[in-house]
Amino acid sequence: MTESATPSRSEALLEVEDLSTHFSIGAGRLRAVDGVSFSLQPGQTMGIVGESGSGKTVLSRTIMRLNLGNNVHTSGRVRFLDKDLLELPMNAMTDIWGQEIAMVFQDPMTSLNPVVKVGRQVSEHVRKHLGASKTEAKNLAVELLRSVRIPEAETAIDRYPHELSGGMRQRVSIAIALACSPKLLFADEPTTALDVTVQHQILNLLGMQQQERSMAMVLVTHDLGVVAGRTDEILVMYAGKIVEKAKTAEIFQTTEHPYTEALLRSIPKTDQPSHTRLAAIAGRPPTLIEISKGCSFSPRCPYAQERCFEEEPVLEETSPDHYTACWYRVGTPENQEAWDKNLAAGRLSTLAIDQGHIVDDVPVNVGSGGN
Amino acid sequence: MAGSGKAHLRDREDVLIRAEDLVVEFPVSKDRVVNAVSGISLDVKRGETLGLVGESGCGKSTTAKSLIQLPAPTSGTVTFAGNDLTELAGEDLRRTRTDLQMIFQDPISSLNPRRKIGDVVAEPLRVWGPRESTEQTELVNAMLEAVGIDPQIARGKRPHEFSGGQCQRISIARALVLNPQVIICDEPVSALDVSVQAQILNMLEDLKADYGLTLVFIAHDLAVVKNVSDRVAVMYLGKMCEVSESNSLYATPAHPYTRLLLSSSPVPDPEANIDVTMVEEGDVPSPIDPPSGCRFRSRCEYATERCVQEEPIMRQVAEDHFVACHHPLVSVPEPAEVSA
Repeated sequence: MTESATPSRSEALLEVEDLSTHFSIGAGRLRAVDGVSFSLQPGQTMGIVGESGSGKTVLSRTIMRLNLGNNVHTSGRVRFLDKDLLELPMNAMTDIWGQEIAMVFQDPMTSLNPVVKVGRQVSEHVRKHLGASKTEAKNLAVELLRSVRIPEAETAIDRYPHELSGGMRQRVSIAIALACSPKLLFADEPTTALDVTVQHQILNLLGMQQQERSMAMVLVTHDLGVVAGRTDEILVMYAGKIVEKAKTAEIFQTTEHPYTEALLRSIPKTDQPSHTRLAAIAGRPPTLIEISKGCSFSPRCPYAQERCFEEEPVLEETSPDHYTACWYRVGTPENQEAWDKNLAAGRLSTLAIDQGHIVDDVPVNVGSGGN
Repeated sequence: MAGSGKAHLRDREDVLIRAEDLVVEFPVSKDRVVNAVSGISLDVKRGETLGLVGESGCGKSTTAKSLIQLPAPTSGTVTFAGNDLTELAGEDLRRTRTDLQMIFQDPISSLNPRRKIGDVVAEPLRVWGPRESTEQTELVNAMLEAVGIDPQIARGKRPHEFSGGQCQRISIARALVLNPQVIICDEPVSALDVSVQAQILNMLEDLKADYGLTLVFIAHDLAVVKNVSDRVAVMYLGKMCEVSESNSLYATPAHPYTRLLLSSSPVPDPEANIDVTMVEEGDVPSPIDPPSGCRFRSRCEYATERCVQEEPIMRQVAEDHFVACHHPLVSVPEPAEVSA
């Protein structure tokens, strides 16, 4: 998974190559993002999915150059149009932020300034980047708040964030992000803090604005349900690496990576009858500090064989536009064989999926027949 | 919705907890109150799981907490195994409450960070359990094992040494140690990753069977609630909208609000039909000054003058399926047919 497997296309809006972000912390070097490559076409929507600690937020922040501090080690290349973002001096980034690439954060309460009226927060970018006058900026702020469907936008500009509900605040954050018509929008768990009905509206709003402005979007989330009908392509991350990448329909219909499969099977669905037993994934994600041999999912994987503990699989194209990093892909005869073998040997991670048991600690680097 | 009525309550005999006309108000200023819960009635049979769903601020946590008198409701009664808990006080109340335990949303902050896991789980025993410390230790070990945690390793550790999912299991062990009859689970999986969520949900099902528990399960995720519940109650702004056997609620929602919730909840299937047009909608009204009549009317597409004037009363639409709405989405049989 460390090699770049994405063919570079000349028209790509964003091209990420072998990007790594490591943090030096007391216990060692934490590999939050490790060798990630992908590209994004203009107007496209990409979903990045993974559990907490999979590196999805660090990845988007690295691309935005928001990871500051002298314990951060970044390597690789991030091409945005004709610029290499990682090479740009920091003050050049201020021309990119907001104007070219914008971001919507998870918690709308903490991402807005609590002591500044929302109108000024929305028009701040416009004043700075487009040099708009005060009245122009005010009119634009009203227009923007209207476009994100905030009722009574004329009076709303004079409110403070605490006077608005969570959903309204997130609409304001979206208005701020859209103010200078960026070409690319990062939405980092934009709806995680919101109720389902509000989540639905905000996602629809993002989709509409994206179409109107033909803007590309990266939707970062832990919820496969959120990205299902709303993205063109999905990246599944595990332990700082991409384990599977495919068109959205493809990843749900012909899931290839055991981790993606396990995630999908562990989600309760409303069309299942009550008391359906869920497939639980054994163990916990790796710490990202110790470097382990082999595939990082292998200790928890129901299909893992000798080879998975020894050799790290590379992200390779298994069918057009479908990339998977796995030696025993789901849906192959080898995979079925591995399952049968592990089940017969009573491997804990396999039993956990099969029977929905809790398995807390799975020993690392043991053969498939072990335990 | 946003209705009252008790049509959905069942025979007293097989019911373990029964709450009638619960009202919880919190004063905000001299003569204004937050109407957190306004006339909720519910019952839970022995061995049943009741799911409570609704958006934030609908009063689902307040309802559950008032079941164990934390705080006692402003008015209304809670009957548990034949005793009216609202009449009890002092030691009687505390003793009865050992049968009703609670687990909370944030697993890490619900455990004291400075205490060892063994002490955290033994705490209820020190108050109400056997005096012998060996007996206490045995019980603690048994409970930790029941939630899949190795007591020999865990007893001497502190909460920060465990993951969120493990901490949640430790809180479940603490809730179980006094051998309660009822566990109230307040969003127990909302803070967890989906893979861990699956573990906890499966485990709750197992423990329920092993210990003969009755559960009240609060969550905002409809799929999670369906997975664990036998019966589901949908709440909105302090009122009950719809109560039903869980499969029937999801197959044929009768309340417009239930349908709104269902159509909004994300489905992990790219083929699913998403209504991408809905982008604006009024906010949930303030519980300080809730709408007259049906509390959902300000967001309801079917609202009429009648909904402004008259509060809907809970009525039966099918077997074990009740709705409080003037314009339900399914046909309502005549009262005579229902009772027949």
